[in-house]
Amino acid sequence: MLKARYIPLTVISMIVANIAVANAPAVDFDERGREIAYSVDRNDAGFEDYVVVGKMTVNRPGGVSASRVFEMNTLELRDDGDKRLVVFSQPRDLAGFVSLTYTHPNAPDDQWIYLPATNRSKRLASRDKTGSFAGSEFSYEDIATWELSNYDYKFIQDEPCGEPATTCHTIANIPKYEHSGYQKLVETIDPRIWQPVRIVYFDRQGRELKTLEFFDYKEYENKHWRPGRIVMTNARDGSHSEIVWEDYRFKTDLSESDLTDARLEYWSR
Amino acid sequence: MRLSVAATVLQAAALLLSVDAWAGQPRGNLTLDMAAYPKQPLFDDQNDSRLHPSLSASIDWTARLSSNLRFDFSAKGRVSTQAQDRLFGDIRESLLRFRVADIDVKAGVVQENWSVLEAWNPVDIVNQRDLVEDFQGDAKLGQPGVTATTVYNDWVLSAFLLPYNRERRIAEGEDRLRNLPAPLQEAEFEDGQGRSSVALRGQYRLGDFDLALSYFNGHAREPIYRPIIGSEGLVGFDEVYESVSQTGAELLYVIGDSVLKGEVIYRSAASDDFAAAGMGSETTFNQLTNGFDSMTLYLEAYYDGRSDQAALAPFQRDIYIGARYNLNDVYDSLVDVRLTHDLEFHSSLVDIRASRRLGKQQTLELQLLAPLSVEKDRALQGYENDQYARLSWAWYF
Repeated sequence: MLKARYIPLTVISMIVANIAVANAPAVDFDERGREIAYSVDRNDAGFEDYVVVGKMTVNRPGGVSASRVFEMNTLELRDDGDKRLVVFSQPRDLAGFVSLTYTHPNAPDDQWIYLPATNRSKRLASRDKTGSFAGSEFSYEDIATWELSNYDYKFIQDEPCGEPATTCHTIANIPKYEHSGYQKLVETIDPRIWQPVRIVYFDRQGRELKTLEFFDYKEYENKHWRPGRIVMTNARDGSHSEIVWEDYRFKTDLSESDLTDARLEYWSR
Repeated sequence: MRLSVAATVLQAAALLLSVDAWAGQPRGNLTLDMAAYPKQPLFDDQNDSRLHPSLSASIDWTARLSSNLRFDFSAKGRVSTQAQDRLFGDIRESLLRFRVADIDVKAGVVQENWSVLEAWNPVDIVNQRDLVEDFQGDAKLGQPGVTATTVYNDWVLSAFLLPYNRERRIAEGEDRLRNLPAPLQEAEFEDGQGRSSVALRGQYRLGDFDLALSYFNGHAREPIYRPIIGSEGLVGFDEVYESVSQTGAELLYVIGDSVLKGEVIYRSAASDDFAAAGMGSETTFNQLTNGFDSMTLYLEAYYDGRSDQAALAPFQRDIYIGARYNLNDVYDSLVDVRLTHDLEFHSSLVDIRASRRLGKQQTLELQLLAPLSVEKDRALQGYENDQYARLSWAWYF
């Protein structure tokens, strides 16, 4: 009964929509999406390197929670993907655990870990980046640096966001990497700072998987906006992981020779 | 000697902890172990208690003395009521590190790790092993030395000067997991215990391929145990450390979700010249149950061409199969199953471990270990009755 009533309405709406699209200025959704992504990339380029302390709280259903503390060092490379090194200090049994990732556009990253208990660096196969980062809702793919050339882009819509509200741009980031854990990342960008306020992750089957929200942005070095807090919420069971970012430092003279697997034992201390 | 080492550790720790706040916060753990041996020991003089409790402590501490000078310190000690050494401690690292003209220098007591394989590392020769702390060879004793590392044409080049040779620590007297039927007598170093060893190592990475080449000249870390026969038969063993030259290579190739790896050595000594090699793979599968869990599978094979005249090696014709299931939950719960099988003597070693975190600062680990059909295997035959279950509670600071 309900279907019979709605069919004529659907047909009418489609006709109306087609007329509206035909009369509207043509929008190239791919081109518009790319423009927005380029603006994001261009507005944050030139940070060189930055260091930040992350305090992560993992909250699972049933009230189970755990905390992690780590320092994240990121080195910007314009001719290749960025390099990122994470050193854990809490929980204390993980203190000194180090993870080093070289991000490569459209190719598997290079990844090493350092295990302080055995004084050993290990290279890992990192084609599959869907593994959990420190038992949280974040995967290694989420923690890797965002690279412009890693995605195709499609403009979805403009929508209000932020406080005070403004018109934000929502685009789909479609991974070019064939082993990505995601079909697409739907990202809403605040054009006042050209940074995301929300990313919705869709799995390979196109189902909504989780949502990442960004809060408390601050500007550093008169150019680079960074969030003070991010929250990843799992759409299936409601579990969520929050990272509070503290003590951002930019241009710390980090060099490529500092971020090598041979130096991981140095970072572990 | 060993008590004095332990005292040195405690004094050094006390001194270092008294240094002001410019130093980093010390980290480490206190661990209470309880091992239960259901069978009586193989040798009469071994401790026949079924329960073997022990308390161990480890500490790591770092102080930045200037922008280019850092001091690193690591030590470990253990108190055991049922062991040959009631108290033992060792400084695993105690070194100054600084950079001179793009050369990273470490000087003091160092620890090096040359390895890509999981179960056994024929290439890894810089540090002496503490087989009482871990009879499978994962615990290393600190090595006095100076190392210099630089990068040249994408090669990471390291040079090592190691001015003193330490004796291997093995189970003796009351200890369980003891392989020698009689006590150690004298340690003999072919060129003297104070003779320096030297080593060179180069590491190179080309995309998914890693290569490391190494050369070592000095005393072997594995002794030859020479039996001493008295009027009443076997009375003990002398340990003889030969002067050796070892050339080694480590190779690693990342393909898909796997890492293929290999280690090869060629060693020359008075007793024998031989080659040894191990090769294997490590493959990880993520989200097995549509959650956060992961499984890593290890498969390795070893061959060692040494004769009976050379020092005994545990992995001569062996395979190793391992599986690590990581729940990736908030407690970092994991289960590790390892099976080593000797293809020549048909002996096996089964090692199962499960661990998880308790609260924020504690961990609990259960280990079940079973040497099986080891009677004919010279490397394992002393462990015939040493099946055990061990529960470890650790508090981290």
